[in-house]
Amino acid sequence: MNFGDRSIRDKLLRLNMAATGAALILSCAAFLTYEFVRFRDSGIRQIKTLGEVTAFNSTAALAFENPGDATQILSALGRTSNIEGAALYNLDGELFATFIREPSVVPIPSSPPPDGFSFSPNQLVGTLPVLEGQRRIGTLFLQADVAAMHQRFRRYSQIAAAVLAVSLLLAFFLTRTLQKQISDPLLSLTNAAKGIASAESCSVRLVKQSDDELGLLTDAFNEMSKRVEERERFFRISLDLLCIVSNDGYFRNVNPAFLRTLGFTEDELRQRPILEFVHPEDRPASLDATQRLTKGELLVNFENRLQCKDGSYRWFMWTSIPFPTEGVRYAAGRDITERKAAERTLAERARLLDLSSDAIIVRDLHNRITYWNRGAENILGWSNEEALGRDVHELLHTGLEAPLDQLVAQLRSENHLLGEVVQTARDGRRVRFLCRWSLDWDHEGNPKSVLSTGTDITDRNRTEEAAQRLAAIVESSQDAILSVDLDGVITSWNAGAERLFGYTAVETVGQPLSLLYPPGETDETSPVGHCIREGKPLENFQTVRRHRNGRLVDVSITVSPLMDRSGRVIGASTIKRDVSDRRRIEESLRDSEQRFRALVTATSDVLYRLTPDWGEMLDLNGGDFLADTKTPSRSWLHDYIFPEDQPRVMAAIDDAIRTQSIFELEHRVRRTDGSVGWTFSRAVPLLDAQGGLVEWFGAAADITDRKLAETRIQEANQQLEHRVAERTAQLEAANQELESFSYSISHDLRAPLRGIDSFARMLQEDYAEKLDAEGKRWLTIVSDEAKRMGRLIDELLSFSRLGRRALSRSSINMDRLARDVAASASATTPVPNKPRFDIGPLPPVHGDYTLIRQVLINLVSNAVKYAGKQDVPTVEISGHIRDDDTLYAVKDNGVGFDEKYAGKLFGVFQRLHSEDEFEGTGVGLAIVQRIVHRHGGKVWAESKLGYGATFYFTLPHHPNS
Amino acid sequence: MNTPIKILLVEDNPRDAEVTLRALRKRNLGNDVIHVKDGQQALDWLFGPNPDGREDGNLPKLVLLDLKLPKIDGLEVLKAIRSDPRTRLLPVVVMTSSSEQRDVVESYERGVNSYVVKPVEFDSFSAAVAELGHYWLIVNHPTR
Repeated sequence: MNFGDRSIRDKLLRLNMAATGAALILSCAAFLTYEFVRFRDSGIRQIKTLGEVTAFNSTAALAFENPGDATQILSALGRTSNIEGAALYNLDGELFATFIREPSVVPIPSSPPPDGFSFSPNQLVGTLPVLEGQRRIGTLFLQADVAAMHQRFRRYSQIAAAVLAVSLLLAFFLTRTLQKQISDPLLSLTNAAKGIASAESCSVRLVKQSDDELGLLTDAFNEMSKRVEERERFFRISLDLLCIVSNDGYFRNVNPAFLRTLGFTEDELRQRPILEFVHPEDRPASLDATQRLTKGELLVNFENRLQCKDGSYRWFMWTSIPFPTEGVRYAAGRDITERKAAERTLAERARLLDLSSDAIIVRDLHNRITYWNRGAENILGWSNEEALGRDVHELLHTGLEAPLDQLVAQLRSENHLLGEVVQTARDGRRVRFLCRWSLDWDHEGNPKSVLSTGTDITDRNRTEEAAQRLAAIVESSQDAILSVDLDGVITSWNAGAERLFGYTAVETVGQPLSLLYPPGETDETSPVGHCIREGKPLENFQTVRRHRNGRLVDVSITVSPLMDRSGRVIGASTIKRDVSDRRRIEESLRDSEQRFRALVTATSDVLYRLTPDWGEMLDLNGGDFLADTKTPSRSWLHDYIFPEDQPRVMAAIDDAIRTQSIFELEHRVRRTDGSVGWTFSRAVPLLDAQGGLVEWFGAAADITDRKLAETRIQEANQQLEHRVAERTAQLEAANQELESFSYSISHDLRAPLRGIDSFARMLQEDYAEKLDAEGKRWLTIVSDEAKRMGRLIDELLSFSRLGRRALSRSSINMDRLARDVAASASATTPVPNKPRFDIGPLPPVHGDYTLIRQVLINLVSNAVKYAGKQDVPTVEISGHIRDDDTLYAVKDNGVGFDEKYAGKLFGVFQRLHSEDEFEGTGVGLAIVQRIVHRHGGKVWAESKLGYGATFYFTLPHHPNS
Repeated sequence: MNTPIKILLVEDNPRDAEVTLRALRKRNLGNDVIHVKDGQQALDWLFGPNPDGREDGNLPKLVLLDLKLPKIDGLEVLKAIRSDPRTRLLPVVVMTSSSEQRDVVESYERGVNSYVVKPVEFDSFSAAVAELGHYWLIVNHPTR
């Protein structure tokens, strides 16, 4: 097997072993070589040193030619284990002395070899000079055995070999173990890659084990695998058909959408040439497309039909890219069957829309035309190409019934709109459309476009207008205009006829014309009936007709025959003019005159007439009030008007003449009996037809009595005001007095009391020993009475102050206030038994806090006081809001009172119990009443003797609360 | 030697004056009091020449002033005291039967140091006087 084909694991092992082996062998060789050289050097050095010593020792023996000594010296060498033999030569080279360990082993040369050292296989031989000073006197020869040295060197070699072997073995195992770090990830990568390649699984992810190149490789692989997987998913989920096609015309690979859409299995698809699936009609085009692809051209939006498993065909639109080098092309196809169907429907609709003679126009929200049918083209003259994209209102100069903004708003709110618009055709013609606009919405519910269909009603309108004009003329005519058919039956009836005869159109249409004939006249006898039947005209025929109410009307009748388009007489129109007007006017004048006379006689007012300039009074009917003027008089001003009022009257007259408006004035007049009276006079200007002033006609009413009454009332009012002012002053004075009175009380009445108390006490303190028990008791009474008087004065003062103090209102938390008051009343009122309180919840109220607090203090301490003698005294405080006020109640279970004295409860110093029974000054409830009254409320009490009492007070709702 | 007068009592009611003096005496403050019976006398004593018991330049430590006084009433006296540079800072306590708001307000507006309503009860009255004397003469630190 070639090395390159071996597995990574194998390669790594071998490479590593080779590298390790080479390194170890090299280092062993170097070591051995070094050791070898070192042995030899040390051998030589050893022999040399030995030789030099021996040579030195032998100097004397040589010099004195004493071989015995020399031999002895040499034999000393035998002690050195490795010296096998030695020899000394004299200067002449003659052997002088020798030493031989084993003669058989060592040949001693007969003459000295040259100086120096050399190795023979088993021996080291050295020759060195024997010197005496600087002079050579002989030569020493040494022969050493090197076997020991060689043996040691062999041992070293064995050790090196053993180390080498163990190291290699270790390296092998280490490599085998460690190389997994590299080879295992690579192997798993390899396997995963194989998996992906064989399309078994793309979701393989490898675990990264290190951050080295292998880690990077793992990451890269995972990323790549993810990408492949993503692509694969897209491929699988795509709604479009995706496929790879071989150039031989067979599917190589198709996605699930392909199978779903067509219904075939993948195998079925692969087995047949693709062309067999294509609709026969589309095959030539498809073949052409295939050829173009084979040439390397791109195919975009190519449409053809493919057969499904069930035999049906579906439309697809293809995009395909060829890869000629690979012999394949990639293709993506979209199922456009539905779109095709929709397009077909659309085309049909468009044809239908074009068939319509109405103008059908679609515009977007910016009024740009997006659709323009043939009807629009025919009516308005602009072709589809010219109209599309233009602003519809600009193009057609749309005339609208209302501002466009308003219409658009209405359109948006109601979704559609019906109305008439006038638009201008290309040739300048004005076209009136009956238009229906409706909003089209996109699928998000936003308005998208406006669809408008317009029916051309230009002509219709013209006809209608003409008819309407005629109808309007007929309707507004003062004359009675009606039409009848040949049988004399009424077919139309205008407002004039309604006025003239009293019948409405509903009542007459369908009735015979003879309805209007006066008694005795029939169709046969009437010339009008005759003319109608004959289709002949008749003009200004004077006759009489009967009103609904039976009255006869003088009329002038004109009859015109009515003809249809072919000229056939189908009826007649008759115009009847009322000629009884003049007579009626005369009659009404007479009536009016009579009524006027009656009025003049009946009225109590004075009636008068004056010339336009008021210079002359034409007549005056004065009744009992003023003297009559029967003949025109110029002295009326002097005769009738009270002198002082004359300027005022004249000014009013001038004003009325100038403005030709009604004269109106109250003024004084001289009455028939010469006394002065009051009148209210009013005169109106009478104008002729041209607006010229004819005369003034006036009426004057006698208002003398009223004026008198008014004067009296005024006087009475003045008197009243005067009296009120007087009373107020009196009241203020009384208040003032009361105030100084209470001030005096405050200051002056208390001083003597203080004196009484003080001196009684001083007497008690300073003269105690001179007084017996009774005397002391009396002094105590004097003192107590003085104090009580002091309290009375205090309460009276605070009572009187209540009247003066202005209320300072605020919102009061009655619940909290009542609890505070209850706690302090319970603490400060001396009673045998403390009561149990049952309070609230109390609604808040608007009032003067200090005063309302006083009310509660007084009522609650009363309740505590009067309930305090019961075994289980209870005091309830409650309240609730009523329609107009808030009601509070303070209820105790004390002794109560007899209701017949209830009226006295709230009076100052009024008490229902003696001082012995219950302490008190009799001012507390008076204060309560005063405070409640000042707040506009009411206070009362209910009780039954022995069964407790309930005190109620109300406080009205404050307007601000 | 005259001890300097420490309290000027302006009181027209002899009974109130007696009770007041008795209360002050109980606190050993009775000897240092001069009692005048109307506003005129008060002003004479404060500003006139050689008044009884007042050495020149010596002012009392306290004026107890009733409001309702013959001749010149208490508010007038107060006004005079406050408008004279010598007595401008002199402690004045109004002691009156009136608890009328207008009297209280008026007094404070004219610079009274304290306003006391005389209690009707002897005990309270005596206690009030004694405490006033004690406070103004002993506790309070006056101007020099």
